[in-house]
Amino acid sequence: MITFQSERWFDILDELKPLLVGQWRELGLYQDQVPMDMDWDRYRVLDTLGMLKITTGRDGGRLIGWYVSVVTPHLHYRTTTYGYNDFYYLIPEYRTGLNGMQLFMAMEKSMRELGVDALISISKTLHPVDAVFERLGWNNQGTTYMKVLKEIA
Amino acid sequence: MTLVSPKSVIITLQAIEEILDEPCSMDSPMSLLGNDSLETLWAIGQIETTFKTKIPDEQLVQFKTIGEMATWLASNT
Repeated sequence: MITFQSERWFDILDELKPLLVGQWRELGLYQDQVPMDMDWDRYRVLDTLGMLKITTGRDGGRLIGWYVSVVTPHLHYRTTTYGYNDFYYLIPEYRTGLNGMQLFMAMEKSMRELGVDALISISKTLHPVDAVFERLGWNNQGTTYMKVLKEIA
Repeated sequence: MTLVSPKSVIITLQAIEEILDEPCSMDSPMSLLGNDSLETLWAIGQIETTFKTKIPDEQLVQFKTIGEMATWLASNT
């Protein structure tokens, strides 16, 4: 049975670490110039400060998906707390039916419970999930552009 | 609890079959709607348009079979 719930970063880290390699291989942009190199110490600090929020999907005990957010008041709008997406992923074999939608719904529910006022996330051009966002009432507020300045080593 | 006639459920199921262009039974899994989230949500959008209703998201994710969805649609449209 697949379930979706909130978990602590520290509690899932050992399971998550090897799976993140697969996520990066599938979704990481400009991989020659931008190698995967997670800043575990900074994540630990954010977790300790209560700013890092994780929603997971599990099939039985197996971790099959995650949505990681950083929750903080906005720099321009200090009275409004934002949930900024850091990354989300559903293991490919589980991208069926309404699993993706349920992951997002569980994340939104946890954000509401935390008192978060607004959510920011991304639908990547090469892996669009616009239909899920639109179904759940999100609005497209622009397009993200990226230009890598770093040369290939 | 709303009572719904078996006949209206069958008619609803037939309409879903036409939308999906796939044979459906009451026990057909929801995965018949599509191979991924995008296809699934597209199919649901077509079904909602046909039945002129919006299935609440919390309800939608509860359906395990097409038959459960057909029964809900027959009861609520």
